[in-house]
Amino acid sequence: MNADTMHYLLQGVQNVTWQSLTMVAIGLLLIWLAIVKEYEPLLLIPIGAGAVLANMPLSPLVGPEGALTVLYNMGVANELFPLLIFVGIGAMTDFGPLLENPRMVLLGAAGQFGIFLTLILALVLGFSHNQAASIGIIGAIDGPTSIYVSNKLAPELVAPITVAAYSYMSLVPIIMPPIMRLLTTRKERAIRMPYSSREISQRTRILFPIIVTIVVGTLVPFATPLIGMLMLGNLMRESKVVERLTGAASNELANVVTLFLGLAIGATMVGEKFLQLSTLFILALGLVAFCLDTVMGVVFGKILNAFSGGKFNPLIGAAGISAFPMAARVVQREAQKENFDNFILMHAMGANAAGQVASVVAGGVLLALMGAA
Amino acid sequence: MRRYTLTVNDSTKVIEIEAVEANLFRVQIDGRLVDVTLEDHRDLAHSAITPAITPRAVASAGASALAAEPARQPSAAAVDTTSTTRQASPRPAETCAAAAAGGAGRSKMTAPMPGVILSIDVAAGAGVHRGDTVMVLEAMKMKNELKAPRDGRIAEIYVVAGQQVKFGETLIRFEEN
Repeated sequence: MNADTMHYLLQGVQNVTWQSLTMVAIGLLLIWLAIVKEYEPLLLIPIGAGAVLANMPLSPLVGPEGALTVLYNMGVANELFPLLIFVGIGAMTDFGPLLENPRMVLLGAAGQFGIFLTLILALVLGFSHNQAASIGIIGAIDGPTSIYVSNKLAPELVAPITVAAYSYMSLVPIIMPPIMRLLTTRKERAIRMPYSSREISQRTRILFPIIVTIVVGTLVPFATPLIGMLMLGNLMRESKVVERLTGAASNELANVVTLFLGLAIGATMVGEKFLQLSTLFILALGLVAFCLDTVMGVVFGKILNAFSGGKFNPLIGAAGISAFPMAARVVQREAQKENFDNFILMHAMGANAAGQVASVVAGGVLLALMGAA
Repeated sequence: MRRYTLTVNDSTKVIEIEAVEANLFRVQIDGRLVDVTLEDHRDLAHSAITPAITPRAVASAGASALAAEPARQPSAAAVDTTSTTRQASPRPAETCAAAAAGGAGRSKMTAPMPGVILSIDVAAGAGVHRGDTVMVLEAMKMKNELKAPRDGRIAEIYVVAGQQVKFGETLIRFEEN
């Protein structure tokens, strides 16, 4: 056995670098978070696995024809995967609570302020316009929207932005409550809001996705792909005539695409590109964006409370983000801590569904502002 | 809007009921507008309670709110006279003693939102304390523990696990003490 043979056999070991080891460790950390802490396991396991596999020495998976590269080109580079996931999200989302309480749209809008505040902060820190906008979109707390927008504006930042968006989404129950408690008084949190449903006719439920698509698509053309897919899924759900498609979109399609998307995003977490100071900034700014969303939402909830003469529970404002339905659940839990028979879940769900739509619109507005083609 | 024409002791009254929200109705009795909050709308046949009116705090000047018990009759033109008499009779403008809001002290527990009963943790006849979990209601895929609004003994449970409930449906009746 000569030296050359030895060289070929040990090629893997020789190509281990500190960057790749660190990235493997980060991948394993994501997997650990997914399994042990159950933080968005559906996403963090594929992302973590993608990161580990892509950073193995000389990994054939990320070569020019590697499987992970193929997945990336197939659906991330051209934005197909986030859009397909949106069909599934639309098929899973019940906009009923929002239709019952249309004023919740205001809270959905308030929940997006963090995006724009963070954008300004990122500009101050020296990121380019496009990068700053991509970082701000983490404040939408919406994975597919973040991937879609950042891939258009700053493709080099997709990996850290996606990781930040999904990590913070899973941290909703940890990050939001302290802010909510800080900004509200015990008395405000205890405000009761009895369930006030009106029966929403099926016609309204069917017209809603159609009208939203046409209105939003006309006002914010950049949001058309996202809102169109989201509302297509919802139209299928509410029409009740294509239950097979609804089921496929919310189960098979969403699951398969989530796996592909997670792997492909994970595969972009390659040592030299990911291990940079900017990644830390992005993670930090993403957290800021999320906190600002919550702050603005609660503050807006307090404004609504003042206008309604003290009948509006400001906690609901915090649900005006996109993390559906976790944000609404957190709101319900916090309200219940003060008053165990206070159920504001439906109101919070309305705000949350509005946040879902609003974050898509915000993404479109960002793209328009940046003049993305 | 529904219009009921009721005859009580030979005097005929026309009552118009307009649903503002699921549990909030605008009732017009003899030309007087009254806001009515519906606390429960189980059919009278199931209802163990007397349809007494719990007066509520006046929300705004002029319009007085009062809580009627089982008022929503499924599209029946004629309503059980005895119950409706008592609902319609009080002078709403004067009844403004605040009732305990949201359930404490009431003899029943109702569904706070629509959903499915996942499990029932108590049995009829069991004694519970305020704050004890009596059942779990799943709404919007979230499990919500429903807790006893007061101390007492459970007289009757109206639902079973797996049952879909509407908002305001009576779940449990407490024994009167």
